[in-house]
Amino acid sequence: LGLQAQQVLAAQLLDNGPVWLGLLLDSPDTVLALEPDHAALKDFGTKSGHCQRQTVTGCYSIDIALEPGSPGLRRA
Amino acid sequence: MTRQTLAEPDLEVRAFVAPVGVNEDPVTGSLNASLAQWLIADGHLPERYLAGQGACLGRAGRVHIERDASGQVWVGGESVTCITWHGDAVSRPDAGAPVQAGPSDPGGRPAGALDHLVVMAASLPEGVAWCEATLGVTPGPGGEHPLMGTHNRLLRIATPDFPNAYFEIIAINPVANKDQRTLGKRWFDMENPGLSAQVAREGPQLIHWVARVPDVQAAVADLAALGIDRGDVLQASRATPGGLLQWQITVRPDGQRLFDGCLPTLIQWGDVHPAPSMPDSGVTLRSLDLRHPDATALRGACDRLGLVQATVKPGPARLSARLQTPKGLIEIHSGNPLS
Repeated sequence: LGLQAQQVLAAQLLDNGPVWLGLLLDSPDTVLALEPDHAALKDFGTKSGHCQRQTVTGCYSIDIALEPGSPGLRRA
Repeated sequence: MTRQTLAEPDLEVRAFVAPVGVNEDPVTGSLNASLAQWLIADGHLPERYLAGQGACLGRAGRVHIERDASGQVWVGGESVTCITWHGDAVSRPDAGAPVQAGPSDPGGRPAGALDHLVVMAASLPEGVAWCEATLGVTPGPGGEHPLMGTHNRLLRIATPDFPNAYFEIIAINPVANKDQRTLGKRWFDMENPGLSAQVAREGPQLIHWVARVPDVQAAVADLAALGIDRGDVLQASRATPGGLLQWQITVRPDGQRLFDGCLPTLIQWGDVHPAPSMPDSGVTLRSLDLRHPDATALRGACDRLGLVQATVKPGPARLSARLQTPKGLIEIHSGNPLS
């Protein structure tokens, strides 16, 4: 995805049938500016086995305060 | 649509799905449901917010998210109809003001309740395929109805609001010996040429519902007092691994459903109800909405039976059920008779 670690505020595996790797990013602008390497993502999805798809999100006007060492951050 | 015409979202979403053959999905309702469960639960977003997705693809969409008091997340949005396939899951806003069936006073007896929804298919394999494509699940086993020459597959859709509710996919059994049927027409209008042609033309569809009542004879008398002949009360039973299923059900000799399917057939179960022994299907019933030109009479009949779970509205005859499924919240409804 071309992200710096500090741009990822939280991560969560989401299972609604397909399993998604969900990433909460530091701003909507970061989300909109991403130009992912889709071939690499496909490769990543295939190799990771249980997580074939990725989603990124960024909140507007929300004061984000994450507890240090939350499970989401460790998983990221 | 351009972004300028859309409300600013609270959340920007992108979905990368290269392994399924497309790099990025413009709007993903089911994903937004999962994201809402995560981001609301962890306090990143309020219980109601607007998500934006697809802007980078030139297809900016908006997804409305709301978590209700029970914790259920609802996903909605405006859409543009490109293809209409009657009988398939189609969700669209309805005209007409909803009228909730009011509280009833059925002579002091316990109220009736929605027992099951009836989807008719031209054949059972076709019904199973429809269920898999539309609801995203394979229905569980059902049984044979020797009296009617029909057979079914069943799916539990119960919730606290619709206890023991289930979903019946029913078809005429082509190899059942019709000569052994001792009755008139098959139930649920299944021999009605208009309905058969409609199902053949449009595919499996919701045609009817069945309400359980504590005393079916008394309920039939209640409807008779309103000038409605719900038909004869038939006794039936079927051995199952969960015990002997016994029930009484109303069937008119002419097989008619009445009110274009909107007035339920009545059933009274014996000691065992089939739903508790059905496995969780992953599908739950959210609402049943009835529309009929004679909504006043339909509402009066539902009130008389103590059936308060379905909404009744005036309009062209239609049954609509909203179901939470692995494919998201969907709506199924009855088909369109040829005018």
